[in-house]
Amino acid sequence: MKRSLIIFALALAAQPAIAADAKKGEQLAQQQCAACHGKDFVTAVDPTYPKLAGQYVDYLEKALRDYQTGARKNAIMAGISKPLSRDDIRNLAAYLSSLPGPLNNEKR
Amino acid sequence: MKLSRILLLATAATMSLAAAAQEKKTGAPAGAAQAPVSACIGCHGIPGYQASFPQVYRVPKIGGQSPQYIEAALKAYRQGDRNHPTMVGIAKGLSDDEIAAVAAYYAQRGR
Repeated sequence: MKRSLIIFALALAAQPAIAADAKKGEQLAQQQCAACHGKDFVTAVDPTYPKLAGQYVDYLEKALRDYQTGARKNAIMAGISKPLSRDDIRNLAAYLSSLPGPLNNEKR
Repeated sequence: MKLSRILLLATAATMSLAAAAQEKKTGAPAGAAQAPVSACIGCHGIPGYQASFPQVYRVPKIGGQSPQYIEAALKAYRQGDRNHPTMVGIAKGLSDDEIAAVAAYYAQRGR
């Protein structure tokens, strides 16, 4: 009994509360983001737009939240980010961070 | 006392050697503005490094990023459109030429 309880607790702990859904993120990203950031999220239509493929998931979430609150000021991104829910942001970030790309923080 | 002094000297020597090696690698032509990236690598040169203030998240990967975006980002910090305190402080100390040099340096470090 005790053991099964422990196993149950461990199973719960191993599962993130609600896992981000990269598949949903992909749909949303291709609809809302790809036109400017590029289908592959490496080749943006304007070089002042960042590459997003392979960026850290937590940084992407923070950036979108900051655009929503206005902590980060950009007229286009303010409009794009406004209707996104918390789950939308998590799903988008999960998808974008999973993509292959040149970004890295390696010291060489 | 003596040992700590030797250690200090050894550390300093290692650091200047590392700096020299780093300079060699960038291969900047003589006379070109040296990118002041010493201010960057403490955070952006460590995979997985986390900013701890004001929120905890990993500092973005900037190697391989578009140079025009890096420039835009640094200028946004400089003029207050972005507000991360560390980055605002760093960007305010950079001239336009230095920003361009930093952007070029990181842009060519794609994976």
